[in-house]
Amino acid sequence: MTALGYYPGCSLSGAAREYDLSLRAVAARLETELREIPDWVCCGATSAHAIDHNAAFCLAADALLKAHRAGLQQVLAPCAMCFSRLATATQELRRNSSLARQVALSLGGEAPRLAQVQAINLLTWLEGFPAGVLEKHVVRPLKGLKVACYYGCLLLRPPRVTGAVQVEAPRKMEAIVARLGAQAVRWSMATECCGAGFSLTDKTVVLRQGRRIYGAARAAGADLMVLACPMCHSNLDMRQSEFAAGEAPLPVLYLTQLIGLAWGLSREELGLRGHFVPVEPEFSAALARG
Amino acid sequence: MPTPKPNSAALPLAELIAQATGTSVLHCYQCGRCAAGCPQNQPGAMEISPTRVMRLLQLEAAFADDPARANEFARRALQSPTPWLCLGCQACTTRCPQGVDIAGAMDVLREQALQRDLAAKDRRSGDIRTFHQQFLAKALRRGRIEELPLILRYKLVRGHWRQDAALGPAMLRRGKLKLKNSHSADTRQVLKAIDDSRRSPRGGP
Ligand code: SF4
Ligand code: SF4
Repeated sequence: MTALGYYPGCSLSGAAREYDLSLRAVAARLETELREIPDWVCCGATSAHAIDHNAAFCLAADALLKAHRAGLQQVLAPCAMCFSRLATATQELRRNSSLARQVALSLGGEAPRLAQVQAINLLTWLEGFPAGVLEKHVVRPLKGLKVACYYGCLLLRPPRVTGAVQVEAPRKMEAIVARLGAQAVRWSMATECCGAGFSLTDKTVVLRQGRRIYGAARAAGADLMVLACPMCHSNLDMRQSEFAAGEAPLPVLYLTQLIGLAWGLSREELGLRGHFVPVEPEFSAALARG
Repeated sequence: MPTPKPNSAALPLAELIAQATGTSVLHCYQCGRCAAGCPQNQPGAMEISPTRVMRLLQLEAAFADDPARANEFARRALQSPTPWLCLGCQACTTRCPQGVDIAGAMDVLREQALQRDLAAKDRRSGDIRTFHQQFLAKALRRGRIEELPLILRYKLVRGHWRQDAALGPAMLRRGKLKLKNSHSADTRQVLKAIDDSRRSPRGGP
């Protein structure tokens, strides 16, 4: 068993339960023990940094400090937003701004030490497994399945924070999907914003962006879409009946769920019933077609 | 909500942005790349593009010897709905050939607009602002966000009761909403850190 720090964030304990479930199921098979950061506090998401720089930094630094105290140098933050907030705070600590120094002191740590804690996202974690490891669990190869890999914004941008090398035409998720036997389609909207947190405040933006993303995935011949962000999932799954009313449903899965399907994990274990756009029968039909 | 930082209103916005982001809007050469890739820079959304916002900030700095003019440019940036309509998608910051953190500048503009009581008054900007404020207040109070109470409180304050009325039950059925607040975390340590951080001015990059 390898131990890895785990920052689930609020979404994975609420609306994105299935992401947490499927991640835990996949981690167990990869012999990774997810060690939740004790008493972690919300990262503040978009709203904190949108209106209060100090609060945003302090919230994220608090998580880094708690990880450090628990002896966790690497922290998996499966939510792209949480990942972005933690990684941004690490950048500020590295920059050693006076805010960083002062907050570290106030939290009872030192900026350079806190800066050693590294937040990683789902893709970075998964691609760390050598060839053969993801593959050996596959019992239902996804041969012929056409998958649109959707990154959205914060897994990649800005590269100064995420460390991503290929930002405009990324291939990391495509590589993982290929290891399951599926075929990643080439399409134009992989890194376009889904409308983020505007679902409640200005839904027209989410519907407009969702429509464009859905349309591009369909045009590229995708059977389904995979992603690694609860916000993107909610916008593209829950809102799909509005921006693609009466059209062919495009199931939207967390990458961990697609991995689980290839590994033959049960629908319960993967939380597939929590979706608005049903995964079945589309998934089996697409596999049969392929 | 944020207590004012000492003297922040006296500094030009470009300076506050440099402190917060470690990058300078003065390096912008108006190529328009940020605006070109911005998902919100389109009819019905942003009226002033991110590129033009950068120019306003430069003009404020350029007119340092003429405070009345400088102030006028700053106000135009601060009162614009643009920062509220910004999704924080980071496309601009990623693509700027001059290394300007435009998305980070939008953060500073929102914060300063609130502190100086200049934030855009239109309904949409107000909705977005209220949501951010309620979200942050809740994160700091309870340490965890749960969707249902957050949504209900937002709707209560902004009066959008009918929008998405059917979604609540559908989310409940899928286990995506919980009726009770069941999560919380101790926020005393983080609240103290925020408090301490406000006592001294933010230092340079
Ligand atoms: S991309 Fe950079 S240099 Fe070009 S207009 Fe925008 S801020 Fe200025
Ligand atoms: S971060 Fe904001 S301003 Fe920049 S491209 Fe995205 S929506 Fe536009």
